Amino acid sequence: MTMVVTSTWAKKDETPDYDYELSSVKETASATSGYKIFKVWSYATKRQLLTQEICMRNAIHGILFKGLVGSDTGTQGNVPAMIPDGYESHKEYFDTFFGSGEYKQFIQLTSRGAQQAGDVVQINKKRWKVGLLVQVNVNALRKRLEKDRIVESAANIFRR
Amino acid sequence: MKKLFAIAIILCSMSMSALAQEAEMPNIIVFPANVWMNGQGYVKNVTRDGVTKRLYQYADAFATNRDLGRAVTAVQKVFADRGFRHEDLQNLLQNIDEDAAMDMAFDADGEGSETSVAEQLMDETKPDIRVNLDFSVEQVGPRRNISWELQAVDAYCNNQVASVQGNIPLTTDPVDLAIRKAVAGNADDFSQQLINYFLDLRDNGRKIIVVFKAAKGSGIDFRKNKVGTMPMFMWISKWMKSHAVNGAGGSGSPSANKYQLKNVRIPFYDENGESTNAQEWVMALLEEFASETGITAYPQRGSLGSVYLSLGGE
Repeated sequence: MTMVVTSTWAKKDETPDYDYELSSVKETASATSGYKIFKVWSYATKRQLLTQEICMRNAIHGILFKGLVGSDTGTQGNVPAMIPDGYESHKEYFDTFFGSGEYKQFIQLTSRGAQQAGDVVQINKKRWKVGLLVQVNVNALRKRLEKDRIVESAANIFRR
Repeated sequence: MKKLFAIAIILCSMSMSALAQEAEMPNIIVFPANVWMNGQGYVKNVTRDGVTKRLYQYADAFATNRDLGRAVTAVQKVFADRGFRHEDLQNLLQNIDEDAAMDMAFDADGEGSETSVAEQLMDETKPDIRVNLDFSVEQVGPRRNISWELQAVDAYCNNQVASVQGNIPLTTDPVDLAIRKAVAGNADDFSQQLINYFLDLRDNGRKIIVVFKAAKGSGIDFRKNKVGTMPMFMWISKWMKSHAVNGAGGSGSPSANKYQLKNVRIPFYDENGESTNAQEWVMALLEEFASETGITAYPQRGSLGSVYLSLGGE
C-alpha cells in the first residue's frame, strides 16, 4: 500500500524546522553525472506537517548544507555540501530561495511521490518521520549558485 | 555600416578577452594509470646503458581497448560539466606519433636523454594536473568485481591532490557502463577536492622543487662561500623567501655542494598573465646571483615543477 502525504492540513505558521536526514539508495546508480537520487527522512511533531513540499525542501537543504554520504557500492560517492559555511553565510539569499519555492525547479519526486510501507513512521506520541525518494539535479543547482556568485566555479577561481 | 563594423569589433574583442580569461585556468589531462598500462601490456621496456625505462603505448591502448576510451570520456565529461579546462589525450596522441617518440629516445643528441610519450605530452602541453584512471576486472561466473580509482596529481610537485576509489561487487553491467556509473556517482566528491586544491593554488601559489648543485671542480661550498656578508645558502634562502608567494621560500638543509629546497611556492602566472614553470621562475635568481658573485649558473635539467641548477660549471 502506498501513501501520499498531502499538504491540506498544514498551516503556514506550523512550518516544521529543518529536521531531516538523507540516505543513499543502493539501486539508483545512474551513468549520467549531475543527478542524485536519494531518500530524505523528515521529522515533525504531526504527520500532517510532513508534506511532500516540506520533504523536498529538506532534501535541497541537505544537499546544500550537509551533503550526502555515499553508499558502499562503488558507484554512489559522497556529495560534499555545496555551502559548508551554512545557511547563515547567505541568509538573505536562501530565505528568498526557499521562501519563494525556487528550490522546486531542481527537485522532482520519483514514482510520483509514491511511498512504500515503512515510509511513514510514528516514532512516539509526539514524533513522526516520513521518507520520500527524490531526484535532485545537482548540476543545475550548482550552476545556479555559481551564477548567483554564492559558490565559486572552477572557471571563476582563476578569472581576474 | 560603420555602426555594424564597430559592433563587430566590440563583440570580437569581448570574445577574445573571454578566451584570454579561460586560458588562465589550470589544464587537466586524463591518463590511464601506469599500473593499468602495465597490467594490460601496453608498455615497452627500453634499456640503454644498463638502465631500463618504460615507454607506455598510449595510442595502442586507445586503439585496442574500447573500455578505456569510454571510461576516459566519462571522466572528461565530468570536467566539462564542471567547467574545468582539460585536453583530450586521444587528440593529443594524434599529434605525437609513438614512433617519433621512440626515435627521440635513441636520438644521439649528445644528452643521451630518453623521452617517453608521457614526458613529451607533459612537456608540450604543460598540464597542471594529471588525472590517472585505473580499473581492474575480476570475473566471477557471469558477474564481475570491478575495482577502480581516479587520482589527480599536481604535475609541478607530484603531490596527489584528489582521489576517489571504490569497488563494484558482483555486477552484471558491462565494464564501461560500470565505470561510467562509478565516475558519475563520484564526480561531485572528486571535483570538489580539485576545486579546493585550485583555491589553495590561487591563494598560495604552486609548489616547486629547486636544487642547487655545485659543478665538479668549481670549488663552491654552499656553507662556507659567502655572498656579501652571508653564507651562500642563506643568500639563496633569503632570495627565495623574498620572491616566493607569501614568503614560502621552501625548506631544506645545505650540504657542501648541494642545496635542495622543497615546497617553494611560486606565482601561478607571470606578469604577462602567462603560466610559469620552475625553470622560468628561477631565471631571475640566476641573473641576480651571477651579478652578485660572478658565478654563472644554468638549469641542468628540470620538469614542470622541479629544476636542477648547476653552479660554477663551464
